[in-house]
Amino acid sequence: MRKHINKWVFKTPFVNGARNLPEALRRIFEGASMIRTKGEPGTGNVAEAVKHMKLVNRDIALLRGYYMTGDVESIYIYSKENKVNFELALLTARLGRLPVVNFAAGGIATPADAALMMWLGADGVFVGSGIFKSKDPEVRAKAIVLATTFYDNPEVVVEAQKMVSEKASMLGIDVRNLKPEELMQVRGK
Amino acid sequence: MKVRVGVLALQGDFLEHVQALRELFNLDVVLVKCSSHLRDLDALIIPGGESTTIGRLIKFKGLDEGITDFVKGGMPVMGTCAGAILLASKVVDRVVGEVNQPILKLMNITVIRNIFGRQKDSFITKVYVEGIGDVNAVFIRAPGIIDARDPAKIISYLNHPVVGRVGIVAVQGPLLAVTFHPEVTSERKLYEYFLSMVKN
Repeated sequence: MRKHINKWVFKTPFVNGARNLPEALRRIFEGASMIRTKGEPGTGNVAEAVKHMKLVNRDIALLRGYYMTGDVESIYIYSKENKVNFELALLTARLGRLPVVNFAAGGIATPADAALMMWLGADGVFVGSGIFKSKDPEVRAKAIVLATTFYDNPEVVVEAQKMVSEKASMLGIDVRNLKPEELMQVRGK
Repeated sequence: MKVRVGVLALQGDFLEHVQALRELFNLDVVLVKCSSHLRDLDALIIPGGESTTIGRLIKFKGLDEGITDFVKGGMPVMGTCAGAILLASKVVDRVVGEVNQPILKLMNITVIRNIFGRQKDSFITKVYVEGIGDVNAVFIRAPGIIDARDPAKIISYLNHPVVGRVGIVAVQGPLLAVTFHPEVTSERKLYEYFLSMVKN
């Protein structure tokens, strides 16, 4: 915890980034009220956020499986191996989801990106440069809100995607072309 | 037949309402995102969240009209926090004053947004509600009801150390406006009161 802020002493809620479930649960233990996938912010490339969301989902499914079969010992081993508080791991296993809201973030640039992340189980999405660096920020913001809210209605998602032009999207950055020191997602494990 | 309760699921903490209803009562819970989802419902809950966001999304494809028709049909609707704002006929903001946000205008009440202050001024307290009794109330950047005109009636007040006496629950026939969040406590009383409005 030495590198991370003890968030329990603040009255203002914190949102913290995570790339996988152990990271998310460590932040929650430190007092985070909300989690966001780290993704790779500023790239307009949703692939990293998808990867992080899938990693979170995979471990939740694993813990849920242990819980449903009454295998508390495996939940304990998971918490020990992943340096996670046992009670939080148990709570996640019981709920079958993160104990706090989880926002998808880090590379979302289009309505379709947002709807995809909602399908993967996000409770909402954060979009920064995906809107501000686009050529059509106002209509794009509206379209992303629609696609997020009605992600489970394909017709609305198509309608929202048609509101924006791919040509007006922010210029994407290939994560593989970033130097290791330029990557944001590796900050603070 | 099981009672079918819809929870408006556009934005906000609808999931907490769904979980509370499923854990506390034996009824069918339906997520409502468009007018067709209102079909065959016995009651509707409008959750807390960001009232302007919900108000705008509700207008998408005429769901606002769908809900208005639902209420005209005499169906019970409960609005909690932002939901109470949406039910009101007039809304004012504590800081910015007059606001021009889309609301449903279904109850004769005037609501002040953020009456107790900002997010960090949120609090939990015990309140007395007429016809229900003591209730644990969680106020999260909550609104207050400052005026109720016939047939609407305020059935609970809170004496706040800074703001003074504020209406926090109002009822108008089968419509119920609650400015706090019953869904985040595990108390059944307020839901029971609301569900008693469902016609048998």
